[in-house]
Amino acid sequence: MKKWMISRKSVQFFIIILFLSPIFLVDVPGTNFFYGSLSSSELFGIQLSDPLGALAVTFASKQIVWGFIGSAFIVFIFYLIISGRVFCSWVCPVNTLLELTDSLRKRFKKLPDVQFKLNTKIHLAVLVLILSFAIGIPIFELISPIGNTLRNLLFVWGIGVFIILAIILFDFFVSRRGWCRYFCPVGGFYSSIGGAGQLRVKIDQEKCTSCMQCKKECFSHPSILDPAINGEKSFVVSGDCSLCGACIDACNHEALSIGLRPYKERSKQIQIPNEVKGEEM
Amino acid sequence: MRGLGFIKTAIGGIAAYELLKLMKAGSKQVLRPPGASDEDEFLALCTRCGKCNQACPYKSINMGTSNMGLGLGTPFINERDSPCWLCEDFPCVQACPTTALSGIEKRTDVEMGIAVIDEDVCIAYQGLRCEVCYRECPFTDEAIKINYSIRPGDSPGEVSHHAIFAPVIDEEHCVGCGICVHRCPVDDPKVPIKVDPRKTGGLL
Repeated sequence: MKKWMISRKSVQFFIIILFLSPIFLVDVPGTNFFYGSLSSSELFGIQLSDPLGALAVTFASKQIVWGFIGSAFIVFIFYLIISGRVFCSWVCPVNTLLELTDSLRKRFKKLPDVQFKLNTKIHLAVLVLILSFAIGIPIFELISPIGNTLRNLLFVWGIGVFIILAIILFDFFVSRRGWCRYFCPVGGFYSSIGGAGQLRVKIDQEKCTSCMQCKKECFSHPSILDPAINGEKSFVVSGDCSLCGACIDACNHEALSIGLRPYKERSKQIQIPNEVKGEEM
Repeated sequence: MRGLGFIKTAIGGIAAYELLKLMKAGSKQVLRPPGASDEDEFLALCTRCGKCNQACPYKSINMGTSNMGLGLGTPFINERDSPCWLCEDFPCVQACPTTALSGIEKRTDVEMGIAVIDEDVCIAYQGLRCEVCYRECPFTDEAIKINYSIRPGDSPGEVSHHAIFAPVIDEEHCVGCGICVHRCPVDDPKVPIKVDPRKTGGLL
Protein backbone atom coordinates (compact mmCIF):
# COMPACT_ATOMS: atom_id res chain seq x y z
CA MET A 1 0.00 0.00 0.00
CA LYS A 2 1.34 3.39 -0.98
CA LYS A 3 0.16 5.29 2.05
CA TRP A 4 2.82 8.00 1.95
CA MET A 5 2.54 8.46 -1.77
CA ILE A 6 -1.21 9.07 -1.49
CA SER A 7 -0.97 11.56 1.36
CA ARG A 8 1.87 13.40 -0.35
CA LYS A 9 0.03 13.63 -3.66
CA SER A 10 -3.00 15.01 -1.81
CA VAL A 11 -0.89 17.67 -0.11
CA GLN A 12 0.75 18.63 -3.42
CA PHE A 13 -2.65 18.91 -5.05
CA PHE A 14 -3.98 20.96 -2.14
CA ILE A 15 -1.00 23.34 -2.38
CA ILE A 16 -1.59 23.98 -6.08
CA ILE A 17 -5.30 24.56 -5.45
CA LEU A 18 -4.41 26.92 -2.59
CA PHE A 19 -2.18 29.05 -4.81
CA LEU A 20 -4.74 29.11 -7.61
CA SER A 21 -7.68 29.73 -5.25
CA PRO A 22 -7.56 33.55 -5.49
CA ILE A 23 -8.38 33.27 -9.18
CA PHE A 24 -11.51 31.17 -8.66
CA LEU A 25 -12.87 32.43 -5.38
CA VAL A 26 -12.94 36.22 -5.62
CA ASP A 27 -12.94 39.03 -8.17
CA VAL A 28 -9.91 40.72 -6.68
CA PRO A 29 -7.38 37.98 -5.80
CA GLY A 30 -5.82 40.14 -3.08
CA THR A 31 -9.00 39.99 -1.02
CA ASN A 32 -8.90 36.19 -0.77
CA PHE A 33 -8.01 34.46 2.52
CA PHE A 34 -4.84 33.37 0.76
CA TYR A 35 -2.92 35.05 -2.00
CA GLY A 36 0.61 35.43 -3.27
CA SER A 37 3.17 33.04 -4.65
CA LEU A 38 5.91 30.91 -3.17
CA SER A 39 8.20 33.97 -2.99
CA SER A 40 5.80 35.60 -0.57
CA SER A 41 2.20 34.98 0.30
CA GLU A 42 -0.41 35.90 2.84
CA LEU A 43 -2.57 33.42 4.74
CA PHE A 44 -5.35 34.91 6.91
CA GLY A 45 -3.31 38.09 7.22
CA ILE A 46 -0.09 36.31 8.16
CA GLN A 47 2.79 36.99 5.81
CA LEU A 48 4.88 34.03 4.74
CA SER A 49 8.03 34.37 2.63
CA ASP A 50 10.67 32.16 1.10
CA PRO A 51 13.77 32.28 3.35
CA LEU A 52 16.29 32.05 0.49
CA GLY A 53 14.43 34.79 -1.38
CA ALA A 54 14.40 36.93 1.75
CA LEU A 55 18.16 36.46 2.19
CA ALA A 56 18.75 37.32 -1.46
CA VAL A 57 16.63 40.48 -1.21
CA THR A 58 18.41 41.49 1.99
CA PHE A 59 21.81 40.97 0.34
CA ALA A 60 20.77 42.67 -2.87
CA SER A 61 19.25 45.74 -1.25
CA LYS A 62 21.75 45.92 1.62
CA GLN A 63 18.92 46.83 3.97
CA ILE A 64 16.98 44.87 6.53
CA VAL A 65 13.22 44.92 6.22
CA TRP A 66 12.11 43.43 9.52
CA GLY A 67 8.57 42.59 8.51
CA PHE A 68 9.86 40.66 5.53
CA ILE A 69 12.61 38.90 7.47
CA GLY A 70 10.02 37.96 10.10
CA SER A 71 7.69 36.48 7.49
CA ALA A 72 10.57 34.39 6.13
CA PHE A 73 11.62 33.41 9.65
CA ILE A 74 8.26 31.72 10.31
CA VAL A 75 8.80 29.52 7.26
CA PHE A 76 12.46 28.95 8.15
CA ILE A 77 11.64 27.78 11.68
CA PHE A 78 8.89 25.51 10.41
CA TYR A 79 11.23 23.67 8.03
CA LEU A 80 14.12 23.77 10.49
CA ILE A 81 12.00 21.87 13.00
CA ILE A 82 10.43 19.27 10.74
CA SER A 83 13.13 18.86 8.09
CA GLY A 84 14.29 21.29 5.43
CA ARG A 85 13.60 19.44 2.27
CA VAL A 86 10.04 18.56 3.26
CA PHE A 87 9.38 21.66 1.17
CA CYS A 88 10.79 19.90 -1.88
CA SER A 89 8.67 16.79 -1.89
CA TRP A 90 5.47 18.02 -0.26
CA VAL A 91 5.11 21.62 -1.42
CA CYS A 92 7.26 22.57 -4.42
CA PRO A 93 5.16 22.64 -7.61
CA VAL A 94 8.23 22.06 -9.78
CA ASN A 95 8.87 18.79 -8.01
CA THR A 96 5.24 17.84 -8.59
CA LEU A 97 5.89 18.35 -12.28
CA LEU A 98 9.23 16.58 -12.25
CA GLU A 99 7.72 13.59 -10.48
CA LEU A 100 5.48 13.14 -13.47
CA THR A 101 8.58 13.36 -15.67
CA ASP A 102 10.24 10.73 -13.53
CA SER A 103 7.31 8.34 -13.69
CA LEU A 104 7.32 8.75 -17.47
CA ARG A 105 11.08 8.20 -17.53
CA LYS A 106 10.67 4.85 -15.80
CA ARG A 107 8.99 3.45 -18.88
CA PHE A 108 12.19 3.89 -20.87
CA LYS A 109 15.05 1.71 -19.78
CA LYS A 110 18.15 2.98 -21.50
CA LEU A 111 18.13 6.64 -20.49
CA PRO A 112 21.41 7.92 -19.08
CA ASP A 113 21.62 8.98 -15.47
CA VAL A 114 24.55 11.33 -15.07
CA GLN A 115 25.63 11.79 -11.46
CA PHE A 116 26.72 15.09 -9.97
CA LYS A 117 27.73 16.01 -6.46
CA LEU A 118 24.83 16.43 -4.06
CA ASN A 119 26.51 19.46 -2.55
CA THR A 120 26.40 21.34 -5.86
CA LYS A 121 23.00 22.75 -4.98
CA ILE A 122 24.30 24.18 -1.71
CA HIS A 123 27.20 25.79 -3.58
CA LEU A 124 24.74 27.23 -6.06
CA ALA A 125 22.61 28.64 -3.24
CA VAL A 126 25.70 30.41 -1.90
CA LEU A 127 26.61 31.59 -5.40
CA VAL A 128 23.09 32.98 -5.84
CA LEU A 129 23.45 34.98 -2.63
CA ILE A 130 26.91 36.29 -3.60
CA LEU A 131 25.70 37.28 -7.06
CA SER A 132 22.59 38.92 -5.62
CA PHE A 133 24.83 40.97 -3.36
CA ALA A 134 27.23 41.93 -6.16
CA ILE A 135 24.58 42.89 -8.70
CA GLY A 136 21.99 44.32 -6.39
CA ILE A 137 19.20 42.13 -7.71
CA PRO A 138 17.78 38.95 -6.17
CA ILE A 139 18.68 37.06 -9.34
CA PHE A 140 17.28 33.67 -8.50
CA GLU A 141 13.81 35.18 -8.19
CA LEU A 142 14.04 35.95 -11.91
CA ILE A 143 14.99 32.53 -13.19
CA SER A 144 13.70 30.29 -10.42
CA PRO A 145 11.53 27.58 -11.98
CA ILE A 146 9.44 27.63 -8.80
CA GLY A 147 8.74 31.35 -9.08
CA ASN A 148 8.25 31.05 -12.80
CA THR A 149 5.78 28.18 -12.55
CA LEU A 150 3.51 30.23 -10.32
CA ARG A 151 4.15 33.41 -12.31
CA ASN A 152 3.04 31.66 -15.47
CA LEU A 153 -0.02 30.20 -13.80
CA LEU A 154 -1.09 33.35 -11.98
CA PHE A 155 0.20 36.36 -13.85
CA VAL A 156 1.84 36.24 -17.20
CA TRP A 157 2.89 33.60 -19.69
CA GLY A 158 6.57 34.09 -20.39
CA ILE A 159 10.12 32.87 -20.47
CA GLY A 160 9.48 30.68 -17.44
CA VAL A 161 7.93 28.07 -19.70
CA PHE A 162 11.28 27.54 -21.42
CA ILE A 163 13.16 27.30 -18.15
CA ILE A 164 10.73 24.66 -16.90
CA LEU A 165 10.85 22.84 -20.22
CA ALA A 166 14.66 22.83 -20.15
CA ILE A 167 14.62 21.30 -16.68
CA ILE A 168 12.10 18.65 -17.68
CA LEU A 169 14.22 17.69 -20.70
CA PHE A 170 17.35 17.62 -18.56
CA ASP A 171 15.66 15.35 -16.02
CA PHE A 172 14.32 13.12 -18.72
CA PHE A 173 17.33 12.72 -20.99
CA VAL A 174 20.39 13.48 -18.90
CA SER A 175 20.02 12.82 -15.23
CA ARG A 176 17.25 11.20 -13.22
CA ARG A 177 15.63 13.91 -11.06
CA GLY A 178 18.79 15.90 -11.83
CA TRP A 179 17.50 19.39 -11.11
CA CYS A 180 16.09 18.56 -7.69
CA ARG A 181 18.92 16.29 -6.64
CA TYR A 182 21.90 18.37 -7.67
CA PHE A 183 21.12 21.90 -8.79
CA CYS A 184 18.10 23.65 -7.28
CA PRO A 185 19.41 26.43 -4.96
CA VAL A 186 16.18 26.40 -2.95
CA GLY A 187 16.65 22.70 -2.37
CA GLY A 188 20.28 23.45 -1.53
CA PHE A 189 19.24 25.95 1.08
CA TYR A 190 16.75 23.57 2.64
CA SER A 191 19.18 20.66 2.47
CA SER A 192 21.74 22.72 4.41
CA ILE A 193 19.31 22.99 7.32
CA GLY A 194 17.79 19.55 6.69
CA GLY A 195 20.17 17.70 8.98
CA ALA A 196 18.74 19.50 11.98
CA GLY A 197 15.19 18.34 11.33
CA GLN A 198 13.39 16.48 14.10
CA LEU A 199 11.44 14.19 11.80
CA ARG A 200 13.58 11.46 10.26
CA VAL A 201 13.26 8.24 8.32
CA LYS A 202 14.14 5.55 10.86
CA ILE A 203 15.28 2.04 10.15
CA ASP A 204 14.69 -1.11 12.13
CA GLN A 205 17.89 -3.08 11.56
CA GLU A 206 16.31 -6.34 12.66
CA LYS A 207 13.66 -6.17 9.98
CA CYS A 208 15.87 -4.83 7.20
CA THR A 209 17.01 -7.50 4.79
CA SER A 210 19.16 -5.16 2.71
CA CYS A 211 16.99 -5.85 -0.33
CA MET A 212 17.67 -2.29 -1.51
CA GLN A 213 14.10 -1.75 -2.73
CA CYS A 214 14.07 1.56 -0.90
CA LYS A 215 17.16 2.78 -2.76
CA LYS A 216 15.42 2.24 -6.08
CA GLU A 217 12.61 4.55 -5.07
CA CYS A 218 14.50 7.26 -3.19
CA PHE A 219 13.64 10.72 -4.45
CA SER A 220 16.65 12.53 -3.13
CA HIS A 221 19.56 10.24 -3.86
CA PRO A 222 19.90 6.50 -3.16
CA SER A 223 23.26 7.04 -1.47
CA ILE A 224 21.67 8.88 1.47
CA LEU A 225 20.10 5.61 2.63
CA ASP A 226 23.42 3.75 2.79
CA PRO A 227 24.50 4.66 6.35
CA ALA A 228 21.14 3.45 7.66
CA ILE A 229 21.12 0.21 5.69
CA ASN A 230 24.74 -0.56 6.61
CA GLY A 231 23.82 -0.23 10.24
CA GLU A 232 26.01 2.79 10.92
CA LYS A 233 22.99 4.86 11.84
CA SER A 234 19.51 4.10 13.06
CA PHE A 235 18.00 6.82 10.88
CA VAL A 236 18.71 8.70 7.66
CA VAL A 237 21.11 11.45 8.67
CA SER A 238 21.50 13.32 5.40
CA GLY A 239 19.89 16.74 5.10
CA ASP A 240 19.01 15.78 1.55
CA CYS A 241 16.21 13.49 2.71
CA SER A 242 12.91 15.13 1.85
CA LEU A 243 10.71 12.76 3.89
CA CYS A 244 8.75 11.91 0.79
CA GLY A 245 8.10 8.45 2.18
CA ALA A 246 8.84 6.64 -1.09
CA CYS A 247 11.33 4.35 0.64
CA ILE A 248 8.76 3.44 3.29
CA ASP A 249 6.17 2.62 0.66
CA ALA A 250 8.74 0.51 -1.17
CA CYS A 251 9.84 -1.49 1.86
CA ASN A 252 8.24 -4.93 1.99
CA HIS A 253 9.51 -5.69 5.48
CA GLU A 254 8.19 -2.67 7.38
CA ALA A 255 11.72 -1.82 8.39
CA LEU A 256 11.36 1.89 7.66
CA SER A 257 9.20 4.50 9.33
CA ILE A 258 9.06 8.26 9.80
CA GLY A 259 9.34 9.37 13.39
CA LEU A 260 11.05 11.69 15.82
CA ARG A 261 14.82 11.72 15.64
CA PRO A 262 16.30 9.36 18.22
CA TYR A 263 18.96 11.15 20.23
CA LYS A 264 20.45 8.07 21.84
CA GLU A 265 22.01 5.64 19.43
CA ARG A 266 21.01 2.20 20.56
CA SER A 267 23.74 0.31 22.39
CA LYS A 268 23.58 -2.79 20.24
CA GLN A 269 24.69 -0.62 17.36
CA ILE A 270 27.75 -2.09 15.70
CA GLN A 271 30.72 0.00 16.74
CA ILE A 272 32.95 0.99 13.88
CA PRO A 273 36.61 1.40 14.83
CA ASN A 274 37.96 4.96 14.68
CA GLU A 275 34.41 6.17 14.96
CA VAL A 276 34.93 9.86 14.38
CA LYS A 277 32.31 10.83 11.86
CA GLY A 278 29.58 9.19 13.91
CA GLU A 279 29.40 12.19 16.20
CA GLU A 280 27.60 14.42 13.76
CA MET A 281 24.10 15.08 15.01
CA MET B 1 39.65 17.65 -7.76
CA ARG B 2 38.07 19.88 -5.15
CA GLY B 3 40.02 22.91 -6.27
CA LEU B 4 38.98 22.42 -9.88
CA GLY B 5 35.30 22.47 -8.94
CA PHE B 6 35.81 25.71 -7.07
CA ILE B 7 37.59 27.31 -10.02
CA LYS B 8 34.78 26.22 -12.34
CA THR B 9 32.19 27.76 -10.02
CA ALA B 10 34.23 30.95 -9.71
CA ILE B 11 34.58 31.31 -13.49
CA GLY B 12 30.88 30.64 -13.93
CA GLY B 13 30.09 33.14 -11.20
CA ILE B 14 32.20 35.87 -12.76
CA ALA B 15 30.71 35.23 -16.20
CA ALA B 16 27.22 35.42 -14.72
CA TYR B 17 28.13 38.61 -12.90
CA GLU B 18 29.35 40.34 -16.07
CA LEU B 19 26.35 39.17 -18.06
CA LEU B 20 23.87 40.31 -15.44
CA LYS B 21 25.61 43.67 -15.09
CA LEU B 22 25.21 44.18 -18.84
CA MET B 23 21.55 43.21 -18.63
CA LYS B 24 21.00 45.57 -15.74
CA ALA B 25 22.42 48.47 -17.69
CA GLY B 26 20.10 47.57 -20.54
CA SER B 27 16.98 47.39 -18.39
CA LYS B 28 14.61 50.10 -19.50
CA GLN B 29 12.62 52.42 -17.33
CA VAL B 30 8.94 51.64 -16.88
CA LEU B 31 6.07 53.09 -14.86
CA ARG B 32 6.07 51.41 -11.46
CA PRO B 33 3.15 51.12 -9.02
CA PRO B 34 2.80 53.81 -6.34
CA GLY B 35 5.44 53.92 -3.63
CA ALA B 36 8.22 52.37 -5.71
CA SER B 37 11.60 53.44 -4.44
CA ASP B 38 14.47 54.44 -6.68
CA GLU B 39 14.75 52.02 -9.64
CA ASP B 40 17.96 50.27 -8.55
CA GLU B 41 16.65 49.95 -5.03
CA PHE B 42 13.31 48.76 -6.35
CA LEU B 43 14.92 46.02 -8.45
CA ALA B 44 16.88 44.93 -5.37
CA LEU B 45 13.93 44.94 -2.98
CA CYS B 46 11.24 43.49 -5.21
CA THR B 47 11.00 39.76 -4.52
CA ARG B 48 8.83 39.23 -7.62
CA CYS B 49 6.03 37.62 -5.64
CA GLY B 50 3.20 39.30 -7.53
CA LYS B 51 1.11 40.19 -4.50
CA CYS B 52 0.67 43.80 -5.67
CA ASN B 53 -0.68 42.45 -8.95
CA GLN B 54 -3.22 40.36 -7.06
CA ALA B 55 -4.09 43.18 -4.68
CA CYS B 56 -4.90 45.73 -7.40
CA PRO B 57 -8.71 45.93 -7.74
CA TYR B 58 -8.40 47.39 -11.25
CA LYS B 59 -5.91 44.82 -12.57
CA SER B 60 -3.69 47.74 -13.51
CA ILE B 61 -0.48 46.14 -12.32
CA ASN B 62 1.21 43.83 -14.82
CA MET B 63 4.14 41.54 -14.21
CA GLY B 64 7.24 42.07 -16.33
CA THR B 65 8.18 39.46 -18.90
CA SER B 66 11.63 38.76 -20.29
CA ASN B 67 11.54 41.86 -22.49
CA MET B 68 12.09 43.84 -19.30
CA GLY B 69 15.50 42.25 -18.76
CA LEU B 70 16.30 42.07 -15.09
CA GLY B 71 12.88 43.57 -14.41
CA LEU B 72 11.48 40.12 -15.19
CA GLY B 73 8.68 39.44 -12.75
CA THR B 74 8.55 42.99 -11.41
CA PRO B 75 5.30 44.97 -11.43
CA PHE B 76 4.68 47.77 -13.90
CA ILE B 77 1.74 49.80 -15.14
CA ASN B 78 0.69 50.30 -18.71
CA GLU B 79 -1.11 53.58 -18.19
CA ARG B 80 -2.81 53.67 -21.59
CA ASP B 81 -4.51 50.30 -20.97
CA SER B 82 -5.21 50.72 -17.30
CA PRO B 83 -3.71 53.48 -15.18
CA CYS B 84 -3.30 53.68 -11.43
CA TRP B 85 -6.68 54.83 -10.11
CA LEU B 86 -5.13 55.96 -6.82
CA CYS B 87 -7.16 53.89 -4.34
CA GLU B 88 -7.66 55.58 -0.96
CA ASP B 89 -5.95 52.73 0.92
CA PHE B 90 -3.35 51.66 -1.69
CA PRO B 91 -3.82 47.86 -1.46
CA CYS B 92 -0.74 47.28 -3.64
CA VAL B 93 1.49 49.12 -1.19
CA GLN B 94 -0.08 47.26 1.72
CA ALA B 95 0.41 43.92 -0.01
CA CYS B 96 4.13 44.44 -0.65
CA PRO B 97 6.08 42.21 1.76
CA THR B 98 9.32 44.11 1.27
CA THR B 99 9.50 47.87 1.20
CA ALA B 100 9.80 47.92 -2.60
CA LEU B 101 6.44 49.70 -2.53
CA SER B 102 6.19 51.85 0.56
CA GLY B 103 5.79 55.28 2.08
CA ILE B 104 2.36 56.11 0.67
CA GLU B 105 -0.28 57.36 3.10
CA LYS B 106 -2.31 59.68 0.97
CA ARG B 107 -2.76 60.22 -2.74
CA THR B 108 -0.49 63.22 -2.86
CA ASP B 109 2.42 61.11 -1.59
CA VAL B 110 2.49 59.22 -4.88
CA GLU B 111 5.39 60.03 -7.17
CA MET B 112 5.16 57.55 -10.00
CA GLY B 113 6.25 60.01 -12.63
CA ILE B 114 5.22 63.18 -14.38
CA ALA B 115 2.89 63.52 -17.34
CA VAL B 116 4.29 65.16 -20.44
CA ILE B 117 2.22 66.63 -23.25
CA ASP B 118 3.37 66.62 -26.85
CA GLU B 119 2.09 70.00 -27.95
CA ASP B 120 2.45 69.17 -31.63
CA VAL B 121 -0.04 66.30 -31.39
CA CYS B 122 -2.43 67.49 -28.66
CA ILE B 123 -5.60 68.76 -30.33
CA ALA B 124 -6.16 71.37 -27.62
CA TYR B 125 -2.97 73.08 -28.72
CA GLN B 126 -4.30 73.11 -32.31
CA GLY B 127 -7.38 75.07 -31.25
CA LEU B 128 -9.98 72.37 -30.50
CA ARG B 129 -11.55 72.54 -27.07
CA CYS B 130 -10.88 69.13 -25.49
CA GLU B 131 -9.95 69.35 -21.80
CA VAL B 132 -10.47 65.61 -21.27
CA CYS B 133 -7.20 65.20 -19.39
CA TYR B 134 -7.92 68.32 -17.37
CA ARG B 135 -11.31 67.03 -16.25
CA GLU B 136 -10.29 63.42 -15.70
CA CYS B 137 -7.24 64.33 -13.64
CA PRO B 138 -7.75 63.49 -9.94
CA PHE B 139 -6.00 66.77 -9.18
CA THR B 140 -7.82 69.08 -11.58
CA ASP B 141 -6.50 72.64 -11.40
CA GLU B 142 -3.51 71.42 -9.43
CA ALA B 143 -1.70 68.86 -11.57
CA ILE B 144 -3.29 69.92 -14.85
CA LYS B 145 -4.31 73.53 -15.39
CA ILE B 146 -5.79 75.17 -18.46
CA ASN B 147 -3.81 77.94 -19.99
CA TYR B 148 -6.20 80.18 -21.94
CA SER B 149 -4.81 82.18 -24.80
CA ILE B 150 -5.78 83.56 -28.15
CA ARG B 151 -4.58 81.54 -31.08
CA PRO B 152 -1.34 82.96 -32.41
CA GLY B 153 -2.08 85.17 -35.40
CA ASP B 154 -5.65 85.94 -34.32
CA SER B 155 -6.32 89.27 -32.71
CA PRO B 156 -9.24 90.23 -30.44
CA GLY B 157 -11.98 92.07 -32.25
CA GLU B 158 -11.73 90.06 -35.44
CA VAL B 159 -14.72 87.86 -36.20
CA SER B 160 -12.68 84.66 -36.59
CA HIS B 161 -10.59 84.97 -33.45
CA HIS B 162 -10.11 81.75 -31.62
CA ALA B 163 -9.17 80.72 -28.07
CA ILE B 164 -6.78 77.93 -27.19
CA PHE B 165 -7.49 75.96 -24.01
CA ALA B 166 -4.11 74.42 -23.52
CA PRO B 167 -3.62 71.87 -20.75
CA VAL B 168 -0.45 72.47 -18.77
CA ILE B 169 1.13 70.00 -16.35
CA ASP B 170 2.27 71.26 -12.97
CA GLU B 171 5.27 69.09 -12.13
CA GLU B 172 4.90 69.87 -8.44
CA HIS B 173 1.45 68.32 -8.20
CA CYS B 174 1.38 65.65 -10.91
CA VAL B 175 1.70 62.17 -9.31
CA GLY B 176 2.04 60.27 -12.59
CA CYS B 177 -1.04 58.08 -12.17
CA GLY B 178 -1.63 58.05 -15.93
CA ILE B 179 -5.41 58.58 -15.85
CA CYS B 180 -4.97 61.43 -18.35
CA VAL B 181 -3.11 59.08 -20.71
CA HIS B 182 -5.81 56.44 -20.34
CA ARG B 183 -8.60 58.94 -21.13
CA CYS B 184 -6.96 60.93 -23.91
CA PRO B 185 -9.18 60.70 -27.02
CA VAL B 186 -6.29 61.09 -29.46
CA ASP B 187 -4.17 58.18 -30.61
CA ASP B 188 -3.24 59.16 -34.14
CA PRO B 189 -0.38 59.54 -34.97
CA LYS B 190 0.26 58.85 -31.30
CA VAL B 191 -1.12 59.56 -27.86
CA PRO B 192 -0.07 63.14 -27.17
CA ILE B 193 0.31 62.62 -23.45
CA LYS B 194 2.52 60.14 -21.65
CA VAL B 195 3.94 59.63 -18.19
CA ASP B 196 7.68 59.92 -17.75
CA PRO B 197 8.56 57.42 -15.01
CA ARG B 198 9.94 58.87 -11.82
CA LYS B 199 13.47 60.24 -11.76
CA THR B 200 16.06 57.82 -10.46
CA GLY B 201 19.26 58.18 -8.59
CA GLY B 202 21.80 55.44 -8.01
CA LEU B 203 21.77 53.07 -5.07
CA LEU B 204 25.47 52.28 -5.15
